[in-house]
Amino acid sequence: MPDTILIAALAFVLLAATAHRHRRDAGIVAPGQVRALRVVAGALLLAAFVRAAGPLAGERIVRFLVGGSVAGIAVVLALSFDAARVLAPVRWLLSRPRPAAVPATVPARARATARAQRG
Amino acid sequence: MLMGRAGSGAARRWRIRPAAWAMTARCLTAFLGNYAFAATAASLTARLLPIARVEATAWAMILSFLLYAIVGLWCFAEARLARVAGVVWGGALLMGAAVWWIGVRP
Amino acid sequence: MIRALRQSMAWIHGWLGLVAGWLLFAMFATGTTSYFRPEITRWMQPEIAANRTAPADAAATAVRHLQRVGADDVQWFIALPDDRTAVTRVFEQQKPPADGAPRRRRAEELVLDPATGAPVAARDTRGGEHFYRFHFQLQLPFPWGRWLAGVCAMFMLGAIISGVVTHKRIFADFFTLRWNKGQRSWLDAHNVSAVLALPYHAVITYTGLITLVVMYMPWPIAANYPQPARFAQEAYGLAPDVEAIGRPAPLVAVAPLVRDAERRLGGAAGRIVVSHPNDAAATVTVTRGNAASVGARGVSATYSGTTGRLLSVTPPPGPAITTANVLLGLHLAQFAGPGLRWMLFLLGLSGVAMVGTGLLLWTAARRRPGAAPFFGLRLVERLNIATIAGLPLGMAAFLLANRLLPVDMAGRADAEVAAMFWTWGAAALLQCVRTARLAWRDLFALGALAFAAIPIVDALTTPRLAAGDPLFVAFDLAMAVMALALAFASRRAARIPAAPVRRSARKVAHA
Repeated sequence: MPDTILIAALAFVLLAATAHRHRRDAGIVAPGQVRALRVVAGALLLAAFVRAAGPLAGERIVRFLVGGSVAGIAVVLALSFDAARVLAPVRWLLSRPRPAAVPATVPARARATARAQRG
Repeated sequence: MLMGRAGSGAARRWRIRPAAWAMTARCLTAFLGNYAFAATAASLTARLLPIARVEATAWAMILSFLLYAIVGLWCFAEARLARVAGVVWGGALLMGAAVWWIGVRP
Repeated sequence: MIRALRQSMAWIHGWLGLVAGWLLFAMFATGTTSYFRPEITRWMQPEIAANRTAPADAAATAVRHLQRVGADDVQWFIALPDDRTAVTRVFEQQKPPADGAPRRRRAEELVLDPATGAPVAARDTRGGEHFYRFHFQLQLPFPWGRWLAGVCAMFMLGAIISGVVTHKRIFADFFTLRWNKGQRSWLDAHNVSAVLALPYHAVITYTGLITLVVMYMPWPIAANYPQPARFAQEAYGLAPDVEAIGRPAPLVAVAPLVRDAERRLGGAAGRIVVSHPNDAAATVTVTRGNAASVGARGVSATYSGTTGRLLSVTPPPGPAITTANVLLGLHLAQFAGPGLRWMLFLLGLSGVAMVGTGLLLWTAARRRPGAAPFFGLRLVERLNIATIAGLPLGMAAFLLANRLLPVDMAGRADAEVAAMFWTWGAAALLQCVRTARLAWRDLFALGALAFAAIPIVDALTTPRLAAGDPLFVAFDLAMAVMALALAFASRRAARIPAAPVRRSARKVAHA
């Protein structure tokens, strides 16, 4: 039960980050990030569903929905008190520099020039 | 809102506006007429479903509440009272007559 | 067209919620409490220790006692104990006297110690049964209470559907909860408690109606069964009733039958019914307990009462009956382990919050700064105070009465119930001498004091809390948390609201 709630809560934090009122707090600057967050949140909810198994037949869907609702209420309450702090991990996640930092749209010649200038 | 004072003479009477009668009729249809509608629909469905007797009865009973809720809300969503009353009371009468005419499952 | 639909659904949502709101608040509060019905009963009878007897042995001791006091009964209905219920409950159906004289007024329900079979010596109380029965009967005589509760449940179902239809930005508002914004905050709180637990509220409401479907919608049975009693037999797999032969024959030992049934049915036994004990036509039917599956109608095995031979086992039901069993089981939630049960309890509290915030939103949206409140607004405000702040106080009074009334007082069970309703009634009436704001503050404060008193009184009157019995520790802790919540509510209610109302009542649901 607790792991279902925690995973679902994580998913809801990511989904909350994509809500318009929280996008600034979450540090979202591109629509691609919104899509990515939603995909990851969906995967997390699926994981919560898989983890929600109980000893009886049919208990999984009950545990998933119950755990999801409890997680949702907890996340919304937390966000209402201090959205910035709750979304800080998302902000950190989105602000990490990408390994391939140079975008592909920069033409090869300009990249070579920049490299030469750096010497 | 539903009742207003009529006239300014010495004997002030409370007048019930037509809208109040209409709303009362709508409420009676939505609560009582709708119950007859749901009960007759459930009975007809249970009687006619070509599956085991106990199964047909159970499905009809389980789904009857959903039918009642949706038709009840429709009674307030549909603006024309004549249509609401016609469908609900008329439907209940027709379905009730059908159930009575078909008879109990042997 | 969609806008007209949303407007009409907003209108009916408000009316359904308002008319049924106070009763629904009470039903949600007592129903949520009933998740812990056996625990409350155990707390209210601290003389009885937790059960350690297996169902088979409890059945044996109960039958031994019954052979002494009711060997010629028509039927013994024995509800067996488990890890949550500490006692064996027996309902005797006594033989009508041969000369047609009125039946002897012997007690119909026996409460027995599972280990010895002797009647328990503990304070007389209704225990958790009181809240449970109030939840669906509303303290009214049969059948009016159940019908009224059913009407309220149907109003709730209509309110849920219309609420979803009318909520324009249901996903965008998912994470919106703003504090200290007056009417806006009540709307946000109502949306959050309603939408985030929407699956729970919808399931609880619909399955609640299903629990009494045979009473509310019997007509399909009449259309399909010339003898309506056959429906129950076919649906629940019951064997047809047999008459007593009249030839006496000793009853076989039941404990081995119970163990055999538990093995066959794949779960602990929940109850056993002995028909025509000590007669040649005696039968023993063992039913599996509800904790063993999500579906609540337990499967049964029937044995001959004289030879112990297996006569029949309930056949597996078809999809419709299985669905009905699962719907019933989802409402009762007796399958739930402790973790899931506490989560369901929290969601039940969110349901209480949903109804309460809805009622408070109604008044907040219609209050005009500087204008005198109209009669309907004053009435609704007072009913809100009486219910939202008064009912918790009444429930605490019930629990306090259990500890404070003398243990061997006659009629003590009824006195505890009376304590709840007199307290609730007094609070509901006396609050009218205060202004609304002070009435809120005072009733919440009294409720906080009452709940805070429960652990104290418990510690002073019974040894179980000091002994560290986990149930008593958990219960008293929960009472302390309730006291804190009510104290917080009292402080908030005492504050003079800051933001004036800016939105009109019509715009409440649509922004």
